[in-house]
Formats: sequence, structure tokens, C-alpha cells
Amino acid sequence: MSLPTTDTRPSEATLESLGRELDALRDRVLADLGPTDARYIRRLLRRQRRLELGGRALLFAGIFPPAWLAGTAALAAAKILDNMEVGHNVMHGQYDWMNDPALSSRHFDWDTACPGRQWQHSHNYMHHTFTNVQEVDRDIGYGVLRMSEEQPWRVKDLGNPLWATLLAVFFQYGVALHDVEVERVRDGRKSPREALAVLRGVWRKTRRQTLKDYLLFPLLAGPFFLPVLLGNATANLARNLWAYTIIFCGHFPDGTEQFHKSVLEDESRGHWYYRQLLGSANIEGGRLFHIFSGHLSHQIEHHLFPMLPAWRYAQIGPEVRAVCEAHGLRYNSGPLSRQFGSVVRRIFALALPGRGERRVRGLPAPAATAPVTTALPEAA
Amino acid sequence: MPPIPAPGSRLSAPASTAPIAPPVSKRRLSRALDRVLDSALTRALAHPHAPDDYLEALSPMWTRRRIHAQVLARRNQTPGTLTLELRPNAAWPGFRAGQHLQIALDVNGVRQQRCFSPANAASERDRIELTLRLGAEGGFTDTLSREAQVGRILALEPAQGEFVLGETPPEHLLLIAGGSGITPLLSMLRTLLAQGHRGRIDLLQYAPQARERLYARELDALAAQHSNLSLYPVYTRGSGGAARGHLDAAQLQGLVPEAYAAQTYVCGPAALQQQAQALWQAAGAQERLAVEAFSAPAPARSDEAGQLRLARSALDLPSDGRPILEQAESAGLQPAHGCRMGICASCRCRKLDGQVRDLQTGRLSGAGAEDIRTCVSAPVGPVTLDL
Repeated sequence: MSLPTTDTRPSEATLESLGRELDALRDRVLADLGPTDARYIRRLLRRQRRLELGGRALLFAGIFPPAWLAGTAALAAAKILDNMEVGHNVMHGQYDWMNDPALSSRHFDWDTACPGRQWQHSHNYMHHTFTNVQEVDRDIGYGVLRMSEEQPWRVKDLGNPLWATLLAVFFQYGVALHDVEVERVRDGRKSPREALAVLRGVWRKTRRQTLKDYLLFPLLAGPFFLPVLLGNATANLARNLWAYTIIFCGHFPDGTEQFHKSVLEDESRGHWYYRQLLGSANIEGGRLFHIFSGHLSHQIEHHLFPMLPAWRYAQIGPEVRAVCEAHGLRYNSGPLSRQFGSVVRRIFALALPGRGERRVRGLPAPAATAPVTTALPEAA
Repeated sequence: MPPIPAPGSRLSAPASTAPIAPPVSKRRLSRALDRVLDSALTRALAHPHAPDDYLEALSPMWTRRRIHAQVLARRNQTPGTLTLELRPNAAWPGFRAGQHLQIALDVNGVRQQRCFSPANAASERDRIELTLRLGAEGGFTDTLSREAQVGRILALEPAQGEFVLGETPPEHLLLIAGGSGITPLLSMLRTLLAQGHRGRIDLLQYAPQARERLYARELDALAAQHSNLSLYPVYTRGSGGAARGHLDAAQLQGLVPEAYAAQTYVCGPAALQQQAQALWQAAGAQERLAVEAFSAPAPARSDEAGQLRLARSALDLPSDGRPILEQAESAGLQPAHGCRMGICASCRCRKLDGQVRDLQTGRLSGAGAEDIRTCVSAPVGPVTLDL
């Protein structure tokens, strides 16, 4: 399927109408929040915790290969649920209205190296407010990869595929160190002191995470130290790879666009929605797939309405799509294979200079306020 | 009107008020479990979550710090009230007679907390008896009544409150109860009698009419068994009691002439509390009067000018005098909250600078950084909060 591309910015009237209809949709869901949402997240949390306990228990019998496999799979699944459907969404404040300290964005922390409060600043504020705005949204390539034609090519970008693989394998540490903002420290835009404070927080959390998974649980297993250690490491690795895959499919598949900083000046509500929409891509799949991706497979709905409980995205998806189509805007959605395939191709293509030179399609003046497409040729 | 005569002086404590403590072996086991499940090692294994997060997923009754209690029985003593008998888990630290605990419950998916005073003797460590008035607390008790079926597990917060007896029980104790306000006073009464306390106790129990008198059978039996207890049912709208009508000086003089000399505890509707306070003040005996404030009306508003700056949310609002919590909610925020009457401190929030007035006591806060309870505080001048 080839996606329709938007070369020009829609009219103010279109943007205003888009903003109005999406606001109305959001308000309707907000007014409907209640016991169903509470039951959903509580039940999910209970199952996640049981799955984790079950996985860790099975790993203690990990000398038997079937138990090791089942235990590792259960632990990986539990960590994925903890990080994605529970942690990411709870720390967005999606369930703050429930007034339950156990589901409060101010208290919750997740089973990964990045301290929750630190992530909330870079993610909820920087990434979600300034989504896909170059030089502001640091989620573009995580400061490591060349993910946009706009980024000038450097020799180190030859290693783009290698850096991407390393980032995927060590994704939890990548996310944690993301907030140190090394490049801003280098440019003198951030004081080394601030960076050091972030590093200290990461170190404290990482130390406890490492102690738990790589020392205490294995020691507790006594003679089965090694199977438990390997099981925990495999579960963490599986979680890293999965999270990386889902998250990179959010903003980098073919058809997603990036924006110049100048769009932020006096940006209207409608344009904000428009930018979120063009910068995000959905992955199609079944109910379980959406739950295990923390509903980030509904990246478009998530970026339009980051405060709504994520399980609602599946519910409102068809309506969002209808609103987009009625306004002549693309709704980028495809199966995992296609979306991730195009991300991988982009990582390889941008390793080389010259490839994917900045393609600005028929942009009307003022060019600065129009989206800069980073899509690869449709023929890809 | 003459008091109901307290018949014969039988001394044996009735079985229902005898202290019931779990057997020693069970308590020892529970403490051993605490040592394991709440140890530094277990906390490190559960990181970044708490051991209770995992125990709760298996069974809420297994938590070691979070208090949960199972509904053992429920009954309607009078129309419009519900009495619940609960069995708390090992996290329950017990209570002092007169204190209140909080029940946390989802009302339409939103967690709310309300205060209730146990009515049983404090010596009963593994039992909690609550009586609540239905239709009260903005739908909370109705939801609780629907949800609290036998077997259901409820979340509790520890008991607190200063409405308690002193170290040594007074020679003469006067208890004045209105409606469901009987519960903390009944707990004091049961606790004292279970201890074998012999001092004089007078209980004035207000109810609209005889059939709405809570714990009528239990109280009559206690009065029959304990010569030191005199029970005076007073009906505000019906006959047959020791007196009729609301509390006033003449009624009090007729029932308990030595009232102002006794150590007095009052719990009931706001009107009853205010009347008692006025009487004791006029008699110059305020220091012998204790009033349970948890049924105090929620704070209204202050007429002072103020400006509310919510730093975290980047909001700047002109204050309309209502509690900060309500103003923040009107502005679309969802601050943490609990009882909404200044008791539980769930809404505690850091004030960065500026002054607030406590709408219940009228006290003005300091100007520096400090924690305040947003549900009972209103801005006086510009106030900045970490909210």
C-alpha cells in the first residue's frame, strides 16, 4: 500500500476543524472514564505481577530446559508488560484520575534502568510536546543514530546499522542515558553538573536493577545460579529488543515526517494535532499484540491523546482514522513487518552520505512552517 | 425525667466484650513472616516495586504493610444504617478506643477515602466493627454498602485521631452520642468495661426515635450487667426515652446534674457538637470536653483575596476562597486527595511560598515552604504550590 503524502500544509480552516473534532473525541472519552478503566488496569497489573512471580519461580527449576524456557518467557513477558502497558502509561498520568497511589504518575517506577521521574521529563514533556521537531525532540535517533536526512552525515554514521543493533540490545541503558544529553553538554548548552546529577540517578537505579537480576535472584537459587542468571539476562534482552522494535516503529517508518523548529512559534491546536499525526505511525495487530506493545502500536492515537488510558486507543482508532480521512490527512498504519522493515531500510540508507538527500516536495512559502518529509522514495 | 434505673450489680464481664487476642503462636508466626517478607533482601528483590505489590497480587490479605480487611458479616441494625464486621490482616496495628480509620474504595473508578470509627473494644486485635449511616458522605457509604458483601476485601488506612481516653480512665465519664456518632463512644465503653473499669460512666444517646437507636440491645445488656454504667436514651422526635428533644441546659441538668464535672466526650451531628461546646463553654468547663471533629462540616470558603500559583502545572488562578483542592479541580487538575475534611493528609502538598488559611481552625500559616493540606486550606494573598 502506498501512502498518500501531504506535500503542503492544510488550510487554517482544515486545521481548525481537525482540532475541534479531535478535542471533541478526547472530551467524550474523558467524560466516559470510570470503573471499566479501573478494572482493566488493576486486572492487568495483577496478572503482570503473577506472571513475574511465576516466571521467577519456574527459573528456580531452570536446570530443566522446559522450565527454563517457560520461566524466561514468562519473565520477559512480565517485564514487557511492566514497562509498556503499565509503566509507560501510568507514568504518562493516564490513570492519575483514579487517585490511587499505586497507579499514580508521581509514585510509579518501572522495572528498567531508567529512573521513572527522569524519564517523565524527557518523554512526557520534551518528546510529546515537541514530537518530531528537529533539534528539539531528542527521540529522533536518540542522539546516536542518523534517522533523518536533515542530520548532516558524519563518518561515524557509516556504523548506523551497528549502532542501531547495539542500541536495541542495550535499549534500557540507552533510554536511561538518553537524558544525560551528552551532545548538549558538549555544545555547552547543559552544565556538566546537571548531567552528572542525571548520571548519578541512573547509576543508583541501574545498580539496584543489576543487583536484583544478576546477583540476588541467582544467589537465592543456590546451585542453580547460572540458569537463573541466564534466564534473567535473556528476559531483559528480549524486553530490550521488543521495546526497541515497537518504539522505533512509532516515528520512523516510511511516511512519517519531521518538522523544522519554526513551526513551534504560535502553533495552533490544530497544527499541533497535525504534527502529531504526521509524525507517528501505527502497527496493526491483534488485542494481545496491542497490550504487549503498551498500545504504542496505536502511536497516532497515543500522540494525539497521551493522557487517555492507552487501552482506549484501540476503541477510538477507527474514529480517529475517519476524522483524518475526512480532512484529507494520511493515517499511517501497517503490519509490523512493513513498518519495521522500512525503519531498518532507513537505518541502512542513512549510513551513507548522499543517499536520501533532503527531499523537499513542492513546499509552498513560507518553507519553514511546512513539514519536511523524510520519507524514502515510494519505490522502496 | 428519671434515668432508666441501672438494675442489680452483676460484675461478670459479658463474653462479647472479653478481649480476644490471637493465640501467641500465630502472632509469633506473623512476626516471623514480617521479618522475611519485609526484609531488606525482599525489598531488594522486589525493586523498584514493593514486596506488598506482589503479595497483593496473590491475595490482598497477605500484604504486610498495606492494611486489608475481609467482610465477615453485615447487618442492618436500624433502617438507614449498615453494620460491618471485618477481619483485618496482619498489617493492622490495632487502634485506641475512640480513634477512626479510613476505608479506601473506588467510587466510579476513583479512589476515595472516608473515616469511620470502630465500635468494638480496642482489645480485640483481629476484629473491627463499623456502623455507618447510609446515604452519607456523598454516595461513598452507598457504594460501600453495595460493595461490602461478605467475603469482600477492603483497603484500610491505619487508625488515627486524638479523640481518645487518657492514660488513666476518669472517675466520672460522660459520653454524649448522636446517631452513628455512638461508634467511638461505644468502643470506649466496651474497652473500659472489658478492662474491669469500675468508675462511673453516663451515656446520653440521641436518636430521632426508639427504632433508630443504634446498638440498643447491646447497650441495654451492658447497662444491665454493669452497675457503674447509666444509659439515657434521648429521642428528639419520639417518646419512651429518658428525655425528649435536643440537648439543652435543662435536659442535661435533669439527666446528669454533675455533667460539667465529668470528663465528657461528644460525637454526633454538627448541631449536637456545637450545642455541647456552647454549654460547656458557658459553664467554664471546656477543658473537660472532647469533641470528635471528623463529622465536622467540610470547609466552606474564605472571603480573603488570594492568588493561586500552581508551579508544576504552570497555572495561575485568582483564588475564589474555596479550598485549594477544589479550586485546582475546577481548573481541570486531579490532585491527590482523601477524606476532603482535613483528616487524612492524603492531599498533602508542598507550599513553596505564601500564606494559607486553615478553613477549619481559621489559623493563618507561615509564609515559607511547608506541607499543607489542600482540602482545608485557602490562599491568603499570592501562594505558590508544588502542584
